[in-house]
Amino acid sequence: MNGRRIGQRAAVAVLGCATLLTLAVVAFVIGFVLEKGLPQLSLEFLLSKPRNMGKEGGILPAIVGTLLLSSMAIAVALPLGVGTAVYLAEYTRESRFTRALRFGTDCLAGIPSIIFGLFGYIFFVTTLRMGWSLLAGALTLAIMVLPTLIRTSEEAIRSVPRSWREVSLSVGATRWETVLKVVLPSALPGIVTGVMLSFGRSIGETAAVIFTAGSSFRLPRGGFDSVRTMAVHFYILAREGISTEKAYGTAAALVLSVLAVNALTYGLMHRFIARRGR
Amino acid sequence: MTLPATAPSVPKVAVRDLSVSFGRETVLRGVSLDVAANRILGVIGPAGSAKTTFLRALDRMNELEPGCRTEGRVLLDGADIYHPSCDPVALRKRVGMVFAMPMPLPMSVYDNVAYGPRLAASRRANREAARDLSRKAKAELDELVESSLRSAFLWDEVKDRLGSSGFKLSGGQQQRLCLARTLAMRPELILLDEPCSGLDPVSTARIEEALAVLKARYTILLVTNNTKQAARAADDTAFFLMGELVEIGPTGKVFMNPSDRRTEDYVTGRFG
Repeated sequence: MNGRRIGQRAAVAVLGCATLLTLAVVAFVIGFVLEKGLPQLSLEFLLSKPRNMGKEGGILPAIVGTLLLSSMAIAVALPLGVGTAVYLAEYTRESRFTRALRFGTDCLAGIPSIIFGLFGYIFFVTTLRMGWSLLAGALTLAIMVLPTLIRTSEEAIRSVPRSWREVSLSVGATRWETVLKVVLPSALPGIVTGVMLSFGRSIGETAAVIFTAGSSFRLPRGGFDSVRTMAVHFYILAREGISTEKAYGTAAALVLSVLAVNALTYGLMHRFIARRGR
Repeated sequence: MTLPATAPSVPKVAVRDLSVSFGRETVLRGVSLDVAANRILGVIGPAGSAKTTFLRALDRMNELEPGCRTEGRVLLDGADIYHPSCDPVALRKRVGMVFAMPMPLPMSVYDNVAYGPRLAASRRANREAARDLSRKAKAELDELVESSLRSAFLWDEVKDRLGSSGFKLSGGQQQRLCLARTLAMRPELILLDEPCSGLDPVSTARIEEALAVLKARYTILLVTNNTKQAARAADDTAFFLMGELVEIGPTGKVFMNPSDRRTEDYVTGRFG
């Protein structure tokens, strides 16, 4: 009995240490970036254009470019991803086809982003003659995050109790009405998690973006303009030794924008859930 | 409603040679019976006797399972619900179902009751017409929600919290909410699948009270594992055993003077 108690305590201690270690690493990384970067942040830095290759000035075009690119990518990927997930979870029975499809999406999720960049460059930029542009970048990112969106949405949809579907059908709802009124609203938190993961991935993406959206300093005026995202800006500043300070400033802005987007999404989701009277 | 209780002329539901199988296993075998209008038919039998499968055959819920095959005919007011021209979605508006476990949808009390009628309305009217009528429709919907909740003996308990979640009600209240949700569709036939299996005696009594009033307007099938409940609430009783109908008759006769030995053993509590 004593041995069992010791084992129990040891397990709790080990698990606790693992958690602490994880938290410490995360806190260290974020703390490091913010410590180096926050002093660089100022309204002027956030709201002005870069000068002298980014050695001076700010990062406004990169902020705009990042948010536009990621939002467009999600706007394209979300309907496709959720649509596929609904189809897989609600309209098909488990078969060789669905298993193949799932295997395919899992493989797609494991492909390094630079391969997507290469594909986007060859297909969107060159073949479809979009050039280095917001559009080419957003479509490439959309393909890149699609597997994540599909899998998280499918999991979320499958975790909605079957009995709710039966109840809905039993009062004369069609399958589609049941999906719209019961299944999707209940699966929303899971789908939102997928959106946030995808958004985070697209915001931070560098390789796929350099190849497809280019690295123009200018504020985009349309879908066919090239943009430079914060991640790309950071990469170029750091790699070419242009300005370490500005690079850290950009990194801090990047981290903060991910936090802001996630907080906003969570807030919207909770408001939605509260409005449904759960 | 003027039908004499003892000799109903046209049955509300006529089941003929109904068999249901899942994959290779035949669960329900060759059941034929009539359900008279405005009466409560209790369906009793031990676990695994296909009571629920029988009930779900009456609003075509079985076919949602993969590998389900149904044979035979189920006539609702004389029309076969398994005929290819019968739309199961339309059928389920005429036949309401209350499930064994209280199962509110994840929305407010009001929205739970209004769920079915809203869907039906949105399909009926196009959007513009709906907007013109919206104020009137809103009042009608309010009225429908209230009357449904009253019929389920729940209105007084929830009238001040229609906007709060259906999950916040007690188990018994949730089940009456589900009954109200079914009633709001104004169905002709109500199927209850062990509606009181998760409830305490007081909640059970309230449901039975509601059913006794409701049978004036509806035809009710009540599947129950509790033979005493059938004896109390049902006008007629059908006894199922291992996928077959053993006996059906007026409740008093089935319980006091059954014609089949197995029925007698079951209702007297010798097995099951």
